[in-house]
Amino acid sequence: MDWQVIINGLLLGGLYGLAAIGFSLIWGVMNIVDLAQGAYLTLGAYITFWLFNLWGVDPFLTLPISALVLFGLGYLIESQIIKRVLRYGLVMMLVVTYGLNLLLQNAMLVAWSADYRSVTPAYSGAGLVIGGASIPYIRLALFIAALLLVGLLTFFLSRTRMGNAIRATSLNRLAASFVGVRTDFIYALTYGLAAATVGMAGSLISMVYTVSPSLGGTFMTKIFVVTVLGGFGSISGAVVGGLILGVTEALTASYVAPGLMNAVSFIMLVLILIFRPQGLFGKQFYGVTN
Amino acid sequence: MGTSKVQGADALITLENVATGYGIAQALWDVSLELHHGEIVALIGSNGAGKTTMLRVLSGVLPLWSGEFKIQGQSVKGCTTPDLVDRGICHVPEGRQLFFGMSVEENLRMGAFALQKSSAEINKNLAWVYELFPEVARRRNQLAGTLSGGEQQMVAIGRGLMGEPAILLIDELSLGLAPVIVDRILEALQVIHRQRQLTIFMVEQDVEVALSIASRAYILENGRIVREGRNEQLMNDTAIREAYLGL
Repeated sequence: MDWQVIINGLLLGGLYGLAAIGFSLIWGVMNIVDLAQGAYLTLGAYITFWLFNLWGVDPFLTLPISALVLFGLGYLIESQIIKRVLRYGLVMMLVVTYGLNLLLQNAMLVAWSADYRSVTPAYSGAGLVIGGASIPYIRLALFIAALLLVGLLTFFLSRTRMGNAIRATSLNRLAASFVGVRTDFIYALTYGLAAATVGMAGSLISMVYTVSPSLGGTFMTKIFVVTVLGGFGSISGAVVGGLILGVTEALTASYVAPGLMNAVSFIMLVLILIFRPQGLFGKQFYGVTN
Repeated sequence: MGTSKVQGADALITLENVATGYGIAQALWDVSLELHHGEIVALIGSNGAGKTTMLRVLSGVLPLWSGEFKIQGQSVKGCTTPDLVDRGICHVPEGRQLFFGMSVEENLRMGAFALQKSSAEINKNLAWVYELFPEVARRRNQLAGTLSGGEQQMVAIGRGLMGEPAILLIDELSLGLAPVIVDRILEALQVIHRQRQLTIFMVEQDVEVALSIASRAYILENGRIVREGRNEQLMNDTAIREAYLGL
């Protein structure tokens, strides 16, 4: 077994995991399949690109800015648009979030063109070598940043008052309102939080991928696979799902054929849906868990 | 009319000529009701009479079509459920509606969500709930969804108490529970009532259960209140005995 391949896969998988958390959270709390997540990811990537390109801000330092901008956008979109159509059900939500995705993606296309752009900080070439496998510093840093953000979100959901309210709302919206939780606000908060998370994932991803308006589309398919693998609404599930997908892709690319990467991912998706539809980390009770 | 207004002033909860329903289907007609501080009142009726609908009105889940809803003389028409929680109303819903994926203790602590209290005070209430329901205390770290029906009902009531409500609305307490468990919970409710002078409004299909602890009752039929009175009065009423007690 070639360790280099496994390591590459794991490092990439951490980013997949982070990218999928927002999607999983929204599904777990609001029962929405949010197709606009890809656009938020792209937007996060662009925020990092422009801050880096125009003012030379270190890409890692752009994370809080991405988070703030996307939280605000997500909060606004939920409270102004999604809230109004929520009661029309799943299909309507697919249409609305798909529309939002198109709108945002095309707005970015108009504003910033379809050019491929990249974020290359000075330290992007260096790396360390362990037992014959080389690990670029930046990939390692991205991986660690992704895991830290996941840890932060997990802490928020399990240890804080608002986090508990989000989990309670995800488990039983009516009961949550009976204990005084303003669930409309919780929905907007959750959606904002999810947009912020995927936006930060986009910021990190911009350092290793080329940025263009279609970046989010590529990742949306991966987000789907990761979420199904890990189980909807499960945060640790999303991380493990991300790692599994990353490794699977790396192995497929180097031992089968790079062109079959997506094919293998989707075969995995279908198999999981057939044999373990609740995901690898199936839960007894539905809702958001760590 | 004049006297009812005077009564209304010191009533904790007042419904006046309330109508409501679901979509275009009306479920309540001209319902008036008063609950006073520290009372235990039962709402009795058969399936589909509108009992749960009435509780949904009182907890703000269902808006009023017409009529008036007051708490301590102040109109709360149009208030949302969390608004009413802040005003001391607590709905213990039918089917318990716990947060199944959370532990028993997390469920109870969620009950105090809307309280602006120190954690010491919340812990004191928690200890009180555990004292009332020791069988629940033993399972504090277990997921709520794994408990038996009776234990779930205890957690549901405990969660309600954690919010320090002025009035507890309990829907179908006895549903699906063994009589011995129902007795156990009724006993606890009486203790709670004694210790905290809580107003309790309980909806029941089982009239014997309802009248065993209530001092007054309303009888609902087809969305209208057809009788009200003190429970000994109702118990001695032949029509009611035949219709609801099967005697």
